[in-house]
Amino acid sequence: MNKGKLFIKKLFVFIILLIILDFAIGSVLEHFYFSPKSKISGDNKLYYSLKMTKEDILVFGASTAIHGIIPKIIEDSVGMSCYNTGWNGTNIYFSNTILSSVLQRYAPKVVIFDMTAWELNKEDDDFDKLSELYPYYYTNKSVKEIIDFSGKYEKYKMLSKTYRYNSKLLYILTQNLRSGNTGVQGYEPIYGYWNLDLAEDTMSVEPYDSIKFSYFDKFVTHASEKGCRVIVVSPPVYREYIKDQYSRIEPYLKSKNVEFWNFRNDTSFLNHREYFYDYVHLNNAGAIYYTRQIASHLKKLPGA
Amino acid sequence: MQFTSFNFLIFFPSVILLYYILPQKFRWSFVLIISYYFYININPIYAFLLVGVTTSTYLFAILMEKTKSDKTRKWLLIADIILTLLPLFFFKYYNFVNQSVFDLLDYFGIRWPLPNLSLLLPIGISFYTFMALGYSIDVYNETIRAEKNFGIVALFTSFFPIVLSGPIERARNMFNQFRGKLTFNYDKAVSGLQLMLWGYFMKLVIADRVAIYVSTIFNNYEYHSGVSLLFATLLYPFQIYGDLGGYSLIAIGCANVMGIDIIPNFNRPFFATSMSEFWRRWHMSLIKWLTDYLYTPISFGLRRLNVWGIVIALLLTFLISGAWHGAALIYMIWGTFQGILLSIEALTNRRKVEFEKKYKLRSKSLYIIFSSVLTYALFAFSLLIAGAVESVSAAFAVIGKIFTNTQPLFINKTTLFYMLIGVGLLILSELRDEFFPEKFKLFQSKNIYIRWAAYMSVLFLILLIGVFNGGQFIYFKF
Repeated sequence: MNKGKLFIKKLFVFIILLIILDFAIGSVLEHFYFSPKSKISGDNKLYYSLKMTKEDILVFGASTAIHGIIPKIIEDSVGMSCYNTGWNGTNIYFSNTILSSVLQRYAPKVVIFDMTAWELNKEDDDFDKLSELYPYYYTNKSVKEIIDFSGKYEKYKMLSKTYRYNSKLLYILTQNLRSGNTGVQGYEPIYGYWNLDLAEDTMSVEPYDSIKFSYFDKFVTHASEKGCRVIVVSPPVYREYIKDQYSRIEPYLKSKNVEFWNFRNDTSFLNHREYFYDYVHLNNAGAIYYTRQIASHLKKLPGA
Repeated sequence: MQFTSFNFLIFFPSVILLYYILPQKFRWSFVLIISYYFYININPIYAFLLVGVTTSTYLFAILMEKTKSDKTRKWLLIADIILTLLPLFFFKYYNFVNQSVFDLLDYFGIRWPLPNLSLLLPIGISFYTFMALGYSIDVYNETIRAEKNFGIVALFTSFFPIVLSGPIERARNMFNQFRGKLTFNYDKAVSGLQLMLWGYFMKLVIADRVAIYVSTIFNNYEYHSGVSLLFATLLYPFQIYGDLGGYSLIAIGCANVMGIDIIPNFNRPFFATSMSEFWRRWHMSLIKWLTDYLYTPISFGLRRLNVWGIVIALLLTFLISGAWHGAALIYMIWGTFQGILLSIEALTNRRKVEFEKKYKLRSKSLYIIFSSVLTYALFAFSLLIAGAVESVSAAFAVIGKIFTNTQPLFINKTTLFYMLIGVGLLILSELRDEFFPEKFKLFQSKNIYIRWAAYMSVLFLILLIGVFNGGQFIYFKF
């Protein structure tokens, strides 16, 4: 046979085999990712956040939320059920997608958004963490919308079933091998305390990214329209190195009738190493103290 | 368009299909058009620079060949070199030189400020400039005839697989291939696709995954412990190797699929047992270029100084290599540091060889491992000043912290897990190639099932643990 024809024939067989294997491997990963065990126990936090939450109070945000706000303390203090949907390294695109999915099912009474100082700044990797949502692309409208928005070729990439589980191998393995839930209602404690010396530097205040701001507006407006009480909290930091970052957001939040609790300048946290795992993340002791303050504010709310 | 972009996934198969559909005689012209399309796709305006460098190189080469007088030929070469280097100097070194001159004059109380320019460095300029210069010098040295066909010279400087980041090819290797029969070669096409697959693995699974950890640490080095900084320092060479090594394999593979051979760029560098051996294995096309066009002429010119002539040639060559990498003090220091290491090796080489012979060290695996680890560590630490962190002071701060701060290691379980898989497989593959080249063959296995299983495994590893948003190749900035 002509070498060229042989090459094309083999390439064709290879591509067919690739498609079959992609489907087969993707299906196996799908099975274990959505294993009944993880669904029931709530181990699959993302699945729980998107499809199963029914709590009165939901916490949204990134790592400062997941390691900073303890739902159990809020429950005990306020008497309402609470869940922390926070996810490491994410931003408003991710939080808004979770909220949209939740609001399709029910409206929580209170929505707490843990907003870092750089939350609305433009970053190169703004859409990167959306990859966590890939397994839900074909089953969740909000997920599909944001992934399609994140890049013009994303919908083609989603055709690969295996790719949808990119970087989820470790997650799938640990979810299916370990017993019990490491997080408590979405909260993930970290232990140890911050003991490195910080150089005296300050980060400049950067302009908000207009697209991110529009998603933040969607988040606030959508939740408010559904009757949720929206609260924005700025988490405490070891040292305030970005000044005045919230001054522009406060008038907006006021106009939307949104509570804003700023713990960034709270002197009970500033320079208190015992509360910090690193310069922005609270350790478990810090999280307990921080959540108690949030709970105390919640109790003071009219109608609480 | 990057090799790792979705566009390239559509672009490359389409190019190959059209390439082989076209009659043979049109193929090189087609690749030339496609190469310019590829380059224009990045930034159209900079294609004019490429045309300019190509035209001057083409004309001067013909002029040099036609000229009989040695003196005139020399002046033509000098004029050609100046013209070819002009865009590179302007885009890469203008601000650096401007600032340095300003600082120097300011020191003497003279203020003569010229504005700094905020221009983007045209991608690939350092690579195609060196290729063009190499061709001109070869014509001057009469090791190659001047090419009469402008299209062939234009294809040489713009050939899309290598125009952005090399390997830095030679005219004598490429011209004959472009002029010859560009026919389909089954074995070459298969080997090209194999190289591309492994290149993608190196870039997406290794380089971009290691980059997540390394950049987390180095971008915030003030907040990380000495142990974390040491770990990131030792990981960084894998990032660079995965990045440029991966790019080179994809480039060579692309060319192979078109039936064109490209010189290799890496040869298992981390098994080198000395810095001189390391530089024979790392970024080989650049080092060979520097050796042929800088080191050899300089050391020949200084041959009366014996070993000190070699030392001066080494220092100068690596200083220029540093400058090639970037217009900043950090690169000069890095180049000088490499030059010093190589000079020390050159000065002590005879005694080292005698010592090794006396104690039969070359046959002792412990000694080989120790030498490789030491070479690797020296290279890793030298990279601290060559781009790993933002400045020389930051590099010294990192080094200081490594030796003084003993806080625990920063652990990102997910990144470390995937990184371990990628780096582990790379080490195993290189170990096999270095010590058991005829054993445990996978891509080269005669058994089609083993071969295809290997292809599929690598492909699915890329899909499963590759980083698909890792940004551009590091060497694009050079």
